[in-house]
Amino acid sequence: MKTIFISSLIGMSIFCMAGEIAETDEKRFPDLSKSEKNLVVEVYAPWCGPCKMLAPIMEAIAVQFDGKCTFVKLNGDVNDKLIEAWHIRGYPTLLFFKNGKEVGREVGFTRKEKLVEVIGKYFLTD
Amino acid sequence: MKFIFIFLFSVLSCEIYDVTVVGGGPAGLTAGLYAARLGLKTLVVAGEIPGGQLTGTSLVENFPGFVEGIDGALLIGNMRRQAEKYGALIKEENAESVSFTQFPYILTLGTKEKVRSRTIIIATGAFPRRLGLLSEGALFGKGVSTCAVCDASLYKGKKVVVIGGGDSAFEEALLLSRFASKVTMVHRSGSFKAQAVLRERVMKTENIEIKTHRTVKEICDPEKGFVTGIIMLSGGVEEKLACDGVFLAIGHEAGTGWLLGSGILDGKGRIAALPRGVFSAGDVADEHYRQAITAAGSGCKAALDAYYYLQNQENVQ
Repeated sequence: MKTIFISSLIGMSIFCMAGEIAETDEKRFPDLSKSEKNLVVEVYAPWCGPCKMLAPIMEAIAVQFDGKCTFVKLNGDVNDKLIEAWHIRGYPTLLFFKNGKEVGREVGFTRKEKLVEVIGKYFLTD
Repeated sequence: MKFIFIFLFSVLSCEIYDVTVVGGGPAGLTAGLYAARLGLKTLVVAGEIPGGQLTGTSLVENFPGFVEGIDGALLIGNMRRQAEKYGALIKEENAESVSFTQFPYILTLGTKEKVRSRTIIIATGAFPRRLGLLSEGALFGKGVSTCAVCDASLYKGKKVVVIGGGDSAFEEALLLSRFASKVTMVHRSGSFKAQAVLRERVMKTENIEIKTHRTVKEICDPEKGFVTGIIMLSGGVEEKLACDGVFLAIGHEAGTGWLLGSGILDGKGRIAALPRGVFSAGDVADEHYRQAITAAGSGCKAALDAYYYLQNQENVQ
């Protein structure tokens, strides 16, 4: 019962409106990384200009990779422990997790074409 | 015959812009706005990462008209929409090179697309100078930063190094001292360009230490993928300093890489001469003021200069 409840919570937090990327946090992330095979975490800060420029690009990419990859975002200002654990040293940072393990990251504003290529490399080529 | 026809068609069908602005910061977008409003066929080559240095700023509090300040990215977004509203075409591409040997001038974009234009406004801004170390490149964004305003909050309770001796180095050190447990300023000489008021503030800040007559030889540790320290050189002697972040504040360089080979740069990569119908605006040709408002103002001037130039050309013909 607990598993179903947690799964439904994770599900609700992920499957929002098409393209809209759900927010995650330190409490929810461990379960999320276990349940999602291919996961992209967009680490941002609310005041960060390049993060705002990246946000609509990530939303478009989330639509493009719908069903193949899960996208979430995490506010670095209020998730100190994960920021520390992940050695985040710049905003925005994109983290790519495969089966719960980090396989790569991109730091700073990155253009859409490059991100599509990088995400494709990590998650579409097996 | 067929090939000659295709060649002629491609040349004749190629659009000629009255004004091509290269740069997508406040200077470039203001130039684009003014040129478009003057009825000139205007292209803004805004760069792959548009917005200039303002997008790295959280709140712009000194741009007139915004009493409570305005978010840098929002200000740039508004400038862009305003330029587009009056007909400027904006391309998010980088300029790769330009030829001033034929007229109209030919600009080559990163996509290899050729753009022909009667006038060109150079507004490609300035970028924080780097040390030029391989380890610095490998760790950029992973502990090496050029923007304390952006990244200071990620260094709560950590040790950081600020490299440089000017105003920006002292300002960054003061900002970082509010988050980091220890800030070490490293400077290659024993004298500082920074204003006395900033130097005094730093001297009074307990967790800031200054190390002079040292250059940075290496940033550690690219293999780990994050910063663990720096290796400094002082009189030929190596000295290691453990830290979690390195902030570079060693000045700016004009964004003129795409102008190499155009014949208008001096030995230091600065614009030395402008061919007729070519204008500059913003930080690319301003080593002194470097403000959003001065950049925007010079963008306006460059667009008006381009307009007057084109009018004179028409009168001559």
